[in-house]
Amino acid sequence: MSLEQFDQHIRGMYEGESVVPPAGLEDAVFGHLNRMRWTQRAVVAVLMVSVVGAGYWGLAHSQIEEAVEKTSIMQEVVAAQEESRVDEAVAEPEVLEQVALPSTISTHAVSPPFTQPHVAQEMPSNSTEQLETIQTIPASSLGTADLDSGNIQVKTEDHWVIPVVVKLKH
Amino acid sequence: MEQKQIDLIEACKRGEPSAQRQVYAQYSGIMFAVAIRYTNTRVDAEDVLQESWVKVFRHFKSFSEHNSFEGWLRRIVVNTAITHYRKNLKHAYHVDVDEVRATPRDLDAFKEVEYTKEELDRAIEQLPPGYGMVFKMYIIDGLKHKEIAELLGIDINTSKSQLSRARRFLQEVLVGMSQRAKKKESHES
Repeated sequence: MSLEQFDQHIRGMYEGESVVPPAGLEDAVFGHLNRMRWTQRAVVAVLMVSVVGAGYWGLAHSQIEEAVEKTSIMQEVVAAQEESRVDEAVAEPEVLEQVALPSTISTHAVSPPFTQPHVAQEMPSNSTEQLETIQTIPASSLGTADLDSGNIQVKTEDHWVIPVVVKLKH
Repeated sequence: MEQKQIDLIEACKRGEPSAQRQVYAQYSGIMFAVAIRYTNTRVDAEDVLQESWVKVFRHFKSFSEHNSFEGWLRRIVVNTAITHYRKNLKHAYHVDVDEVRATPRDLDAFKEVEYTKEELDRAIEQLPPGYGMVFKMYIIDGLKHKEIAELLGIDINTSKSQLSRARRFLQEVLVGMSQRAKKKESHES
């Protein structure tokens, strides 16, 4: 008998050998597989939630940072605007003097609230015309002026002139 | 491989529970026999079988239809049993080599020896663990020496020499059994 024959002989004796496993083993195998599937799903779900949560947190964090950045920029802009307004307010009296010094009209000091920038912004477009109109009033016809209210009240001997509010910008 | 079998395997690859149950019913007997062969107790064999099936269904996608499905299943069981065996390993292979009592024998003389499957089982059980493992893996389950060497963590030549010694040892045991049986027969007659 050759080695090959001997091996074949032995192999033949075990060919198709089958032993019925215990009945409970099938349930144990599939129960184990089910548990593994659920565990895998749970792990995947937790991972997904973590990824989404991290992404959301990152997004929210960047939005907050962006908002803070925008706010600080806006604050800087507002501060700069306020500074420029203050500068304008300081510079305006000179302009007022230049404009309000016609030879035919007597002018008086203008109180600071009168030269507020926001008031100046509301100046109508025809303010130049008004100024021109005022400039044409003959100086001789002017009497006293009430300076307390900031309004110039001009009156003649016989009748009052309608009060004119002079609003100036630049 | 038959188309029906291919379809069943494809369904298993998709993870269909009914197909998995079908495959289990079809092959669990063969796999359990393999598991029993490589373990010392039935309880160990059941553990190995359960673990093997879990591996089978988890790695079903790695099976190629070009190979033998039964062969693939057998390898998984043997692999699992070896891992199980190693966990409980209390004897090293080099000890087995020293323990061998087999002497070279003429295989022609072995022609006359008659033995049953049960006697062969008992004879294989008597093989030193290392020899027995190589013998069962190579002769019964059809693994190659390279695979055996990888699984057992031994050299290919060691696997070959252990198989050779296992054959001789087995013949010795079987001849002894046969002679005892003949003596018994003649004594009875």
